[in-house]
Amino acid sequence: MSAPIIWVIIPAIASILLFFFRKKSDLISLFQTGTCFLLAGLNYLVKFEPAVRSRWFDIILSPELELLGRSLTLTANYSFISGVLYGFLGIWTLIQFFTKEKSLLTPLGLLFNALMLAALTVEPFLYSALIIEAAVIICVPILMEKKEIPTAGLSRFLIFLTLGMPFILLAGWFLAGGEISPINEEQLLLATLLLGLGFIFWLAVFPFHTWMPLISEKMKPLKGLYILVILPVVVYLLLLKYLDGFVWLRDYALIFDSIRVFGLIMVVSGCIWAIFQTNLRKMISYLLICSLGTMLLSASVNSNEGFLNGALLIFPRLAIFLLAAVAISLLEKKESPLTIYQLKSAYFHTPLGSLGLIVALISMTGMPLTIGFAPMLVLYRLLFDVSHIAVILVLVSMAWMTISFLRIAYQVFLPTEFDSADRETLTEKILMAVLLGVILLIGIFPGPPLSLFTNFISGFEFLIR
Amino acid sequence: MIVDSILMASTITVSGVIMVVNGWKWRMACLSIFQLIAFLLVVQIWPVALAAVKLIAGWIGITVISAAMVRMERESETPQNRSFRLYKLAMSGLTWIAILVLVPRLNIWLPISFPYLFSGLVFFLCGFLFLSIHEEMIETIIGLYILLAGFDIIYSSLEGSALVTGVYAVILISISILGAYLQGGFSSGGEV
Repeated sequence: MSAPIIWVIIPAIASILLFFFRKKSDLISLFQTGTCFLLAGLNYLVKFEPAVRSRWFDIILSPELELLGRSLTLTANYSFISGVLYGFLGIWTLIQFFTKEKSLLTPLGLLFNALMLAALTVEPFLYSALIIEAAVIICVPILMEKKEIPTAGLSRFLIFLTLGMPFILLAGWFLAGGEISPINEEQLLLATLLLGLGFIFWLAVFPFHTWMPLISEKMKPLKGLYILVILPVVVYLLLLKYLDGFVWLRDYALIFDSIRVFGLIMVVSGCIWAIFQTNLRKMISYLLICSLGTMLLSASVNSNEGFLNGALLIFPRLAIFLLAAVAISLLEKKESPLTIYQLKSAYFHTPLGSLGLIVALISMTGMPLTIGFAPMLVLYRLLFDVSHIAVILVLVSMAWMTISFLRIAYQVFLPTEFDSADRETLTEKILMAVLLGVILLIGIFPGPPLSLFTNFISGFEFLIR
Repeated sequence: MIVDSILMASTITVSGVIMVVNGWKWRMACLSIFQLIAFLLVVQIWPVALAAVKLIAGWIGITVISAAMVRMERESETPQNRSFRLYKLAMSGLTWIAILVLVPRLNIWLPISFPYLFSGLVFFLCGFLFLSIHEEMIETIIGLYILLAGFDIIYSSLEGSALVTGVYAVILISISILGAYLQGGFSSGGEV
């Protein structure tokens, strides 16, 4: 048995089969949750050839699966990514089950995750562009609200992410030529331009970010935010894989300068739009852009520490947006979509939901004792060595965003003279308390969990020197 | 040489027509011709069987979208005045001129013969223009179809992989299924 059969083929087939039983939503939610936790857990029991069995429960698998002369190579380096992807989907599906939020993420989430893993593990990795395109097509029904006319946001999502594919494939063709013989400066510039265009479309860099707030505005956060959190992370890892795979690209100084500029644009524009946004759902989408920008900025430092910190920033992203999605879902029970004006005294009717939202927002700014603090601090230090202007712009943006979020917190905790009934059920309270507890605990003791996330890029052996 | 000239002329004609016509039946007919032109170009450099896969996948996709449109009994066109059509035609004309100027320069970087690069770019930019002018979801799908057909001509001239052809065909069909799904072609009694 080979590893891609377990983590790519079986989940994909299961997802397609479950799609026909989607009306039995509770049952397939539990099935998807179980499958995800099983697939995530298997990563710790499995060893890859040519390893030897050291424990009785060790399972030894071949990492490679041949497909028409190409292969999916899921080595031990990717097992952590696979574990995080399936573990995160499992948690998300379980929360959806408890909060009774139904969406096509169950069961299409399994297929989406399988395609994401396939995109990361396909060899030659130029084929990843085609797999990402297939995943984008799968995402559209997940991101669409039931019985609603598709929005402009969905159209743009489909257009922009499809436009990325031709540019990446063409860039790949140029660079593949460079693997055999050195390519000249002009070809390298063109390949960089094509690659840059492709990733700009895929990563929703300004001005191609407009689909994100448009989709978020219409969609309940717990239904489809998973896609908006995970898809850019996988694309970011693909960018690193491209840098890892082509020596010409890695040694080309312009690449890292470009990544820094894109990252800076994303952080600054994301912060500014988030500050002036009154709709909570749209604000979260701008924060997603900002979060991705910080990851790009970290990679742009072009050092071991920079790439590792980029991987560390993935963890706060997953935790913060999961917390925010659950919190908004609890707060939106009465009115949706929610604006920041409607959050006035929200603590007194939805205490844990409000607290969760504030913790998520404050963590996003990288405040001390929050989950975002440690990697953001490292980012400032690393960025200071390469560009003073960049670090000043990021600091000012984050400080401005912090002030804005503190004002929201003031509104949330503002005492009210009216008696307001508690809107949270016991299940929701337990769910939120567990999430908040874990995230606050990791914020206070970030060492062990964050260090695990350096495994995200352990497969890029040429990038980590 | 004559065949290539005819194909290039057809490329320009069909790309102009699809920009101007409004009825979905006309648009589907134009899309089918797009696929046929792409096939006739690709078959000159690829084995017939592999080129036929692209043609068949494209036509299957168009059939799926058409079936959804027929089922919904929907004439999606909104009335267009003559000036808007003229504007679209003028934009297409500008695109053709820009491509004619650009192709020799692009030929330095992309070692593809002129008819392929020209036709591919005409399709690609026509799709781009179509996407930027129209806003309905089904029009987005049509625009993507044109754009991907154009890219397919260019990329097929560079890379002759059977797996890419297969995956590309799956993507084309998936996009059309998605279009049909979003158009409500799969709904039965309001269920999504």
